Formats: sequence, C-alpha cells, structure tokens
Amino acid sequence: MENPFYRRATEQLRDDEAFLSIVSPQPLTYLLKRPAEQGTLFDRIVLFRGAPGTGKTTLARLFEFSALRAVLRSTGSTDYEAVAGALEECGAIKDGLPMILGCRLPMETDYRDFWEFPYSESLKSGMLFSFIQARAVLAWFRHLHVAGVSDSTVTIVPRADSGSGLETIGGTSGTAMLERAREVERAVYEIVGALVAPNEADIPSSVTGTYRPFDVIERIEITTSSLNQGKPLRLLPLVMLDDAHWLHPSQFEAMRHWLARRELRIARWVLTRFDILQPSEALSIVADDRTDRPSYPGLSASRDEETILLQGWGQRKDQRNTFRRMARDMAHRYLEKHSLLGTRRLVDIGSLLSEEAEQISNSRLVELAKHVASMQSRLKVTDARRAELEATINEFRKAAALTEDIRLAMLAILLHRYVIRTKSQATLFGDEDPEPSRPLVANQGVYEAARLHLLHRFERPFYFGADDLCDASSENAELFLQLSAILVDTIATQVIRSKPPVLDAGTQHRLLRERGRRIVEAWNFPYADKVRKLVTGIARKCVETTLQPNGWLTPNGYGVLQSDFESLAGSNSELASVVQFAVAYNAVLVVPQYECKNKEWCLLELGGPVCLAEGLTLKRGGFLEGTTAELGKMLEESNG
Amino acid sequence: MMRNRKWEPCVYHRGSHADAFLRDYLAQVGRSVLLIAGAGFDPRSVRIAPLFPESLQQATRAILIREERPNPVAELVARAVHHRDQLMAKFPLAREHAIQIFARDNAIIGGREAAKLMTGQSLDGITDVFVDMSALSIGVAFPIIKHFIDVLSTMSGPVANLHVIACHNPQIDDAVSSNPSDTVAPIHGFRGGWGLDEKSRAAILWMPQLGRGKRPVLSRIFQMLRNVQEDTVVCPILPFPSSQPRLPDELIEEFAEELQLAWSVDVRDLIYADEKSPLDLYRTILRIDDARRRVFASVGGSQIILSPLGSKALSLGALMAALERDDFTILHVEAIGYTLDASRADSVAVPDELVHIWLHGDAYGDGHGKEATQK
Repeated sequence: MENPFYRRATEQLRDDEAFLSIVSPQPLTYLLKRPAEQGTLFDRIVLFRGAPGTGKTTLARLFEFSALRAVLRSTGSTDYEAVAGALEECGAIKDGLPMILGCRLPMETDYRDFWEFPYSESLKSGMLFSFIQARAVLAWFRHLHVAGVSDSTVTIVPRADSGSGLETIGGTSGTAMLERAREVERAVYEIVGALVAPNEADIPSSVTGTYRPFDVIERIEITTSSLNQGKPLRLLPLVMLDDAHWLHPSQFEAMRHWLARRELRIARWVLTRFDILQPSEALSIVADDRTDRPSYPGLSASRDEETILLQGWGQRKDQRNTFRRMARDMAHRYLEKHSLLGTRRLVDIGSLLSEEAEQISNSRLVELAKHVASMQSRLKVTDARRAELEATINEFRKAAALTEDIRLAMLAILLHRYVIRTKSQATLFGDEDPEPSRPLVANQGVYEAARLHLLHRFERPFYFGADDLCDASSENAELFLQLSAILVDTIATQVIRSKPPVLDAGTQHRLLRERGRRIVEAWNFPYADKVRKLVTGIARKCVETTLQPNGWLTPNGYGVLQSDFESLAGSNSELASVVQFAVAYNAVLVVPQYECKNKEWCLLELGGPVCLAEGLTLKRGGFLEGTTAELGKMLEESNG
Repeated sequence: MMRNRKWEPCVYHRGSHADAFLRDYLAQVGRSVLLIAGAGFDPRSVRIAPLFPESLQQATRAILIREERPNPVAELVARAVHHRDQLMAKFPLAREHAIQIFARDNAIIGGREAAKLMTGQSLDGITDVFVDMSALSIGVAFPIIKHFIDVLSTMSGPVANLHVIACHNPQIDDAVSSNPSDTVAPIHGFRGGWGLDEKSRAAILWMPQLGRGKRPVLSRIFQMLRNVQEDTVVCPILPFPSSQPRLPDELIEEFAEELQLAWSVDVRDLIYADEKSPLDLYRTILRIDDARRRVFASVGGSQIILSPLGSKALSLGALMAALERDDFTILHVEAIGYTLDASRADSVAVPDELVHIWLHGDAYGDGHGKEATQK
C-alpha cells in the first residue's frame, strides 16, 4: 500500500495529470493573483524566493506548457477545476486556451561554470546569456513538440524594433530558429565542457553575446493550432530559471540586471532559494574575488522587479493561517490518492487527528499535587493566597475546563511568580501574605509554560492536532509531508485493524517527536554536523529557560542584534556558512529586523523538527538574547 | 556485435604483481618520471614512494596536490603535512600545489583547477607519467587523467607512457567518512552531453557504485536524475568478489529502501564487479552500452550515467569506460570535508593492495605512443 505522503516533491511526478491532481491552488491565488491583476507577473522580471520544499519547482512546473495543456485537456474534472481557476486568475489560461508558453530551466549544472573562465566579465556574461537563451528556445520547442506542434507551423512574432537581431536568431521561421538554437547550445557547451577553456581569440562569435532571441521575440505563433480548432494561437513565451542561487553572486546580479530590462517582451521568472545571507551577506563573503564586479545604477528593485516570497511572506500570523489552509488542502489531495483512506473518504486531516488533550496518569497526578503542596509550603504561601491564585486559573478558559494536571502546573508557576513579586515587601515588613507588586494573572503564556513543564516532567502529550502539525512544518510543504507521512501510516494501520481512524493525542505526540528527531539526525547537507551542534546548543538554552519554575519565557529562538548579525560574514566566516546552510535547509528560520525592547533584532528561530525533537513551543516570538560571539562559542564548545 | 575496445587487452597489475612490476619497471635505465599524487591526510598518500629506486626518487618531478576544503579539521591538516614532508623527503624535486576544491560561494571548482594546473606542466624528457589517485578525490584525479590522455593522444613524436595507480584498502575507506556538498554535478571533463537538447529524449541508465555510507549522496543524485527523466533505470554496481565476502549483502541491506522503493531495481539489474579488478567493470559497462545503443538508437538514443563512489580500484573501471565512450556522464557529489577515524585508520591489519593500469603509451602502439589499431 503506497502512502503518497512519502513522495517527496511534486517535481518527481513527471506525469502531468498525476502532478496536477496533488497540486493545491491556494498558493497560486495567494501569491500570484495580485501581481497578475497589476500586470507585473508576465511583464517584468519576477523573483521567487523560498527554502527547499516551499514549492518553487512545483509552481514553475505548473506554468510549463505541458501542464497547462493537461489542465485544459481535463476541463470538467473536479480534480483540476480549482487549479484551472487559479491559472485563469493568473492569466495563464483564457477562454479555455493557453496564453503562455512556459519552460523551466534548472540552473544547477553548467551555468555556474562560466564564472571560472579566464575571460572578461562581459564576455563571460555574454556566453551565459547566449546559453540560457538557446536552452530556453529549445525548451519551448520541446514543449510544442510534445503537444504535437511541428516546427513548420511555428513562427516568431518579432518586436517591431528588433532590427538585425532577427537574422541572428534564424529569422521568423520556427525551423530555422530551432536549428540556430541547437548550434549555439552545442558551441557554448563545448566550451563549458572543455577541460581547459580555449583562448579568447578562438571562441566563435556566435556564442559571445550576439545571439539574443529574448531581445527579438514578442510572441510565438502557432499558425494552425489543434488547441484552437485549427486557428492561429499566439503565445507569450515564459522562461523560468529554477534554482538560480547556484550561480555565482556576480553572475546572478548580472543576469538579474539583464532580465530586468523593460524592453524585453518575453515573461521571465527567476526562482531562488530563500536565504537571508544571499545576496546581501553572502556577497560580502565572496567580496574578495569580485573586485571587478559591475554596479548597475538605474536598476530600481521596486519599479523593475517583482519579488514574491514563498516563505516568510506578509504578517507572521497571516503566514501561519495561510499555510494551515494550504497544508490542509494539500493533505486532502494526498489522502484522496491514498488507496486505503481515499476510498473510505477519510480525507480530512483535521478530523483524523484528535485535538483532545490527555491528562497524566492518576499516580503522576498525585505526585504532582504533592509536589505543588510542598512547593507552597517551601515558598511560604498562605492557603488563602493559593485559593486566590486557583480562582485566577479558574477564570482563565472558562469555556473549556482545564484538566487537573494543567491547573496544578499553572498554579506552580503562579506560586513562583507570586514569590518573585513579593520579595521586597516580605523582607521589609515581615508581612505573612504580602500583596504582589503587580497583579498575577493566568494567561496564555502561563498555560503554555505549564504544558511545557508537564511535557518535560511527565512526557504529557504536547504536539497534537492538525494546527500543531502545520506549525511544526515551518511553513514548508515538503516538511509537512514528511511529518504527516508517519501519522497517515499509523491511521492506515488502525483502519486495517478495524480500529477507529482517529489518532489520539498521545500517539500523535510520540510519532511527531520521533519523526522530528529522525529528521534532524538525517540531515546530510553541507555543515550538517555543525548545524546540528548549533541548533542543539540554542535548543538546550531554550529548554533551560522554558523549565524555569516561574515560566517567564518559552523561547524557541535566539536573537542577536541586527547590526551584530550583519557583520557576521566578516567576523566569523565559519559561523556565517553554518547559519547560511541552517537557513537554507530549514533548520533555522531567520527573522530579520525584529523590533523588541526598542532594539532591532535578528532572530534565529528554530525549525519545527528541532522544536519537536527538543520539546519546545511551536509558538513564535519568544527568544533568548545573545550575540554571534556566543553562537560561535556553541560551535567551539561542541567541537571540544 | 561487440565494438573494438581501447583497453582490450590491457596492461594491468594488482597486489604483489603490481608491486613487483613497478619495482622492475621503475628500475629500468632511462626512466624519467612525472609523478602526480595527493599529499593528503589519507595514509595511502605515501604508499607509492618506496617503489621508486633511490636514484629515480632524486630525479622524479613530483607534483604533490593538496586538496583544500573549507574549515578542515586540524588533525587532518597535521596528518597531511606529515605525509607531504615524507614525500618531499623522498622526492627532492617535488613541488606542492594547493587546489581549492570549492570556490568561496561553495561552487565546485576542483576539477577545473586541477586541469589548469596540469596544462602548465611540460612533458619534455618525461618517459612516464604516473598518476597516483590513492589520496586524490575522483573529482580531481579524473580530470587530470583525462588531460594526460588527451595530450598524449594528440602529441606527435615519442610520447610518454601514462600509468594510473590506486591503493586499495577497504578498511581505510571505511575509516574515512565524508560530508557531502549539496551540489550534484558532472565531474569536470565528463559531462558526456548531459543537459544537451540532443540528449533530451535519450533513455537514461544510471549505474551507481554502491558503497558504505553513500546513501545520502546517491539519493541526491537519483533525485536529480528523476527530475530529468521519471523512468530513469538504475543498475547498481556491487563489489563482488570482494575482500569482505558479505559486503554485497550488507550493501543490499543498507540500500534496501532505495533498491526496492525509490529506484525500483529488479534483481536482474544488479551488476556484480570484481572489487579489485577495474577491467571487469570496464568490460561490463561497455557491454551494456553496446547493447543499449542498438536498442535505443531509433528512439532518442541511450545515455549512461556513472557515479563511482565506492572503492578507488573499482572507480578506475568506470573511468576507463567513460574515457573510451566520451558520451558517458559521471555525476558526482563532492565532499565538502572529511572526518577520519584515526584509531581505525592507524590500526589497519590488512596490507594495502596496489592496482596499476598502464593507460597509454608503448604497451599499446607503435613506439610513438599511438595506439594499435584493433583488428
């Protein structure tokens, strides 16, 4: 029985129909509708940024010509209806016809190599751009071929001012243009693949920047299109440069500038990993070897570019709510594909994960009650004061009664807070039941701290319910699938054994914590060992603070002053690299320019799997104040 | 029909035969050697030196390559320095060259740097070029070997012989673990048309060499291949016969999830290759390629992808196949750093076994370095 949640990324599903059936249209509408309505989505360079697993490639694949065709082929199918609607809202489909001819170029291999050539920067850039353009043209034609469109029925609609540029790309004939693109690709490839780069004088002129189809093409026309009942179909070419972070920062800047030019008529998207150290801090790391890097005056990010963040967009609360909606929708689609659960219509992840809290066992409850009583005695708190604090706790959450264990844990926290707030009065006047300097209230913070205390003391289930599952995923779709997979497996097992399909809180908690630990243990990206040391160091400090008896803070992050963080690349390059990879692989989420206590902080928030593994809150905002020097020490201490 | 093969027959030795042959060969009068070797932390760095007679040691031009990776462990650096000093003492004319494996933006540049370094080396008066890849990573060694093959094949007049040596010791291999980078890329010079439009319809066959602890790396390579072609066929290479008879079984167990689920490997697709015999794997790969070329010729062609990540001796077989058919791609994930279990490495009980392959020169041709035409 295959669990579709184990299929790591939608990019692995090469079959368009299978791919489309699991794509959630929510992010499309949320992210792309506004720029589409404003007319910027296909009009200027659009920069998409997100960590691995945030759906960059999925998004790009959705706009490839073959995926659009698959959507149109299946009009009427409820599976694709929502996706088709979202694509129509984005302007990729209109009146049942595709409007764009999209292709995705993965930038992982080949392109970075140009930077190593011993040529001038302009020549290197010229070759890179020729290569990208040739491959884009070839990819567009590949999509057309798959759609059954022959080269001879394709013509280029050039820009009115294209001039002699048209000749350099082979003219308006599709066949000639394709042939020319092949020649250019082959010529550049030979240089890239050569063991030693040839002399500059030996490079053919065709690959040095004269080949510029992006400057020439306005539309690609299919003269007799079966998609349009034999009538002509004009398509807007779209090139999507996926994983462009593999380029050298200088190459990336040059390419960004090149694609930002307003005179280009084709649509162009650049998808990169979200990484706070790139390009700003990472650029300073490589500053030494880019003395001749050109600057690009006149390029205005706001006017010439559209930036879309796939993770960390908008208000932080909005992010959570939006991701929860998207993740539930995604889970619904995946559960529908599950051979056992889908057929039984068990497709709502929310109703399969119980949100009913589980109390600790009676014997442990007695132990806890004794502990609180002895604490009260040790802290010299009167029974009357205790009763008052209990009344405060009863006031909190009147609607949903608190379980006894939580009430006791909250009481323990309030007892400690009471002592702290009465310390000065008691010493000066010897009052047996002094009033606290500030009134004590049982609020959400005390409740959360109490739950965490019970988690660490009695392993009381803390992580359960669909919202916790979503929050533990750090707004990352792939992580969500990884965490969900083990829960779905267990639900399926229960169904097979004729048990109720709903997973209780204890089982969810245990499975999620195990999964979190396994994910952290399985990290194998660069500097993974050091990242593990860093996040473990931060997490241990957070746990230490979380377990303070007065529960004053439940942190899951580490804050350094923004200025301190910005100088990290220069002050500790190793730590900068470790943080860079920690961010890139979701071990840590960086929250820059966070205002708190009249200071500007940069928060390193621990990723969901680390919080699960270490037993930290999934709520945001709590952080320990520190410095990058202390972070560096965590690496050194661990090393020793 | 089988095509002519470049190294069929091949001059090749291993174990005590390799030692004996090299001692005799290097003792011949008139030998003038260019030695390229790694001066790294790997204890096998110094294995080759004693095979050179003392007079030849004095005259040998040695290029000792130090592979530089970011933030190395101090103990490994100390070991590398120790090995370098030992080699320098044996070969007074030796020069040490550092090669940056990664650029500052973490791009892999080691292979390109190695090829650049070799381009500047004169072969005047050299009778034999020895590349000892025992302590070199394949991302550096393969481009170097390819460079010399290319240069020697196109030179006119008397040219040098090219020998490749690898020191095989699975126990040391097990003591070294690598931290992989996050980039899957073809080894420099071994792209084999990867990514070209004309190859876009080719049926991909991936032949990964399985090795202990290589699961994450091979999974990453596979993921990349699957993104290109969903029905990529996988034929894993297992070392058998092997110095550890249970090794293939252990590898099947280690890779069980991949073999059964992700890669969907049919049991008939497993390739067994003699762990110590590069030629066994070389012949197998070419035989498979010959068959596939015929089958897929009319439907977009065939593309073979190799990932030789296990033992060095076996990886030589993959190298030879890729040198012969220049449309093979070698996909690799470079190590960003290494860790060495020093106690294990220092207490290796099994002696090293040398593998020597004479790749080019007198053994194959007309005395001028030209290879004999196959009948």
